[in-house]
Amino acid sequence: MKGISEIVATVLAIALVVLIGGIVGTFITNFAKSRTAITQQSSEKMTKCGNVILTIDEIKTDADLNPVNVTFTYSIGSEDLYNFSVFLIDTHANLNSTSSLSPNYNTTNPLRVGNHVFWSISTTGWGLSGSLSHVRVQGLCKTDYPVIADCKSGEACMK
Amino acid sequence: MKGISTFIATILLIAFTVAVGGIISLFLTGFTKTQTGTAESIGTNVTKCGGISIDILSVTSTSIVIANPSSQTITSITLIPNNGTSITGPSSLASVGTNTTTWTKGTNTSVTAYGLCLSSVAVKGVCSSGESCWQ
Repeated sequence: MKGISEIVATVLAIALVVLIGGIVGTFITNFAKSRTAITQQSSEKMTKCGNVILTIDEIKTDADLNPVNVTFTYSIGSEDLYNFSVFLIDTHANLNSTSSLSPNYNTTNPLRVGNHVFWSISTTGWGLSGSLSHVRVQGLCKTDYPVIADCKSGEACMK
Repeated sequence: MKGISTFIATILLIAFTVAVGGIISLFLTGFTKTQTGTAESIGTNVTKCGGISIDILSVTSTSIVIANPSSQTITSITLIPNNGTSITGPSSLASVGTNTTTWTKGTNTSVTAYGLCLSSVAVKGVCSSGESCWQ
């Protein structure tokens, strides 16, 4: 039986192996990248957002706990912070939170390191009584990493 | 000795190699997905639960009040006083939720609340005598 010459067969065989190797290599590279991307993002978030420090400078309110004035500083970090919430707990275990804050920080207008923030939060209808036992400020870093600052009764920040 | 032609032998050999390669590739793909999926899930949950803790609001002689001032639900909560006898807390504490568990304080001097954020990341809170929560 006649066929192609040995040299042509060898060249074709090598070309085929290189082609298949290239296809498999490209697939494996893309597959590995896609499978490790989320883990890589999580590690990056933990590294970059884990060292962010928010400091509550002062919590001031009056006898009826309305309004509650919150002053805090983005002390240390390099990432933008946004989508803030404030959680207020009184000494009678009433817990409320709000994300309606002014000024409001979002991805287009984030809070940056060194910035000081003052919020006057109206607590009308929240049912708070007694005194404040815990105030928490929470912002988000890199989409979903919560960065938290706390001020509890007895601490210097709780005026 | 007669046998199959060289051409058919080559085709069969290639087909066999491709089939074995395909089977191995499918196995490796599935295996890699399973292995990296777990790491992905843990990484995502740890990220979303960063900084979250259980807040023990008050510990009296008969009750322990806890709160969840966060945006995640905390589940499987257990309260462990310093005498080591664990007390089953609420199975779930919603975001911005509070719960009261009855107990007898006795001579205990601290309570630690343990729970899970996103069913996988351990979170806790502590209240000890001398703190304002210890009443």
